[in-house]
Amino acid sequence: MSEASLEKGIQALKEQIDAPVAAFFSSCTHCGMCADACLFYTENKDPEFVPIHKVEPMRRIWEQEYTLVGRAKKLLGLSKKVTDEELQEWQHLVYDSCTLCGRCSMVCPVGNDISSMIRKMREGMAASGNAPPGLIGASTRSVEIGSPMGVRLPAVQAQIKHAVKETGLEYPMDRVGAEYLVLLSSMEIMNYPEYLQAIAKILHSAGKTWTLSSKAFEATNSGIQIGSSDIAAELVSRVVNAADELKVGTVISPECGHAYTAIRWDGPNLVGKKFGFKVQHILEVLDELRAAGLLKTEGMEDDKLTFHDPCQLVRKGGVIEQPRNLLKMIASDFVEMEDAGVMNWCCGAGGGVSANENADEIRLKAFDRKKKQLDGLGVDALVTACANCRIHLEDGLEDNEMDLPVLGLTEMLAEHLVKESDSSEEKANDISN
Amino acid sequence: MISQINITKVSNDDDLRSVFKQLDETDNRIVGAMLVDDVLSLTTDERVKRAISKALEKEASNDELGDVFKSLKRAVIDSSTRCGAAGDWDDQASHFVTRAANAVVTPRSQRDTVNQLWQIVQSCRMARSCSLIASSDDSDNPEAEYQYKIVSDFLNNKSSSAA
Repeated sequence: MSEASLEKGIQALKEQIDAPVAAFFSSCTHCGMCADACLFYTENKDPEFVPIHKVEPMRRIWEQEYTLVGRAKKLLGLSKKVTDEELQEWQHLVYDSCTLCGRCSMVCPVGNDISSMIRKMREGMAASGNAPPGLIGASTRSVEIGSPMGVRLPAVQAQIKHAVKETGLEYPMDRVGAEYLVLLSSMEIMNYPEYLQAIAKILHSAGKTWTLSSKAFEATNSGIQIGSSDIAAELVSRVVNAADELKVGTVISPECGHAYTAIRWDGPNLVGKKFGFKVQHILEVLDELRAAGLLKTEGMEDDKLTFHDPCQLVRKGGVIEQPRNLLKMIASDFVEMEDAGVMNWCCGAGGGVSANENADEIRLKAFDRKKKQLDGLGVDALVTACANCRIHLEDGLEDNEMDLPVLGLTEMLAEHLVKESDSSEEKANDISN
Repeated sequence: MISQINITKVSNDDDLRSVFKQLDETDNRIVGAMLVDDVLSLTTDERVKRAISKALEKEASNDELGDVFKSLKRAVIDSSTRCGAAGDWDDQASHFVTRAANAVVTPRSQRDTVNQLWQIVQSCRMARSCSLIASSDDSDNPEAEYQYKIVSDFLNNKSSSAA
């Protein structure tokens, strides 16, 4: 990243103030409804955590630069300048206590997309050198190594070798013309290697061709989290180039919420062109396979299960019915938590919060909201579809002494796949009939 | 009961699964602990070492196992690499050993849907795999073969002592 300075930060913020942002600032009625939608506010009851307040420095720049009254006040020396010290103070509000979950944007009565404004605010924070060290490290590793956690290709190849031995399946790398390009998050490579095996089993069973890319295996986009469109665009372009070179039909975003937003929704705008391939979250792909009769499962979980909707999937992507359709195939006792679906409460660690050690205390405090959702449900296990949610849920549950396993949906489905021998018998019966 | 197990030599995963299905609860825990013991050198976490030492005791009480389970649950979280943090494959090896040890002492009532012993097998293999990555060693992961031998030896010892 280029050297940061306050001037660069202010300039970045000015560049972020486009017509929608100007309209948002003009139309905010200070009603406070966004406060009650934010888990950092509801669990702390501190006015500084009111979502719209988190963009106050950007609002002042908008007022001072782009409004008549604000310009007059600036000329008369009546307005307060945004300083480096102020931005340093705001780091706690813009990064530590915001997961970009988008719940505030859902409730704003005048339609302000507050979450996207905080994302834009991060551009100024990063450019002025006021991003948290954890996110600076993750972004630097993403650009230099290709993974926010420093995972290199030989490590991925070693994990593949392990997976081949375990499953006896092929894990194609750089296969031109495959139907799917599978992306992974570093979290899955390091913490949940079962995910890759699950994907291989399911796509093999469905008779689909797929590949990984040696040039772009990583889905996580630290540029989005830190607030650097340049980094975000560089990371997206690596995937786009790989997908184009390999001539794949669909890029599959893994069980990682913000990776999906980055490549699916922000991606084409970041690289400035329409993609020549489709982008889907893994749950969308699995649900399509289900609908086409290509995802065949056997057996049902007897445990009482509930599902934690990753916020980027439901609020940014509308992926709401798909996990429920899939769970119906394997869960005999499924219950919804209160506010499930589009208004589900964030786990408290998305949007870069988990990479930011400064946020450790507040993210665990914010988990009280998830605890309230789970209390009284009496479930035996919690299912989700985001590796970051998963690890934070485990942390929060342990912190609250709640004995509840957290399971990945893709892995669960793979566990329930009809065994190949059963499947062959079924096909033989179909033919003979 | 061990007398009903009709396999004495384990040479592949199918054999391993077949044996696991036939073990009683105590042997299930002891075999799990033996598998973790084989990769125990990949962690320095004393909580894990204490837990495996306890789990290997045939007479360990449920209360004693419950205590080590509590400490291991925290150890699993402590050893997890957070999203976006710089990963270290040696630490990751230790994490998988911890995960395996946690599975060994998880009370039956709290087990998740995945076969517990199989989770131990997988985590131990992953631990070895992470250790190989850490040392840039691209040789084949030998852990599966070690596991077959550990379980075969266990079965043979059991049948010798029964005879």
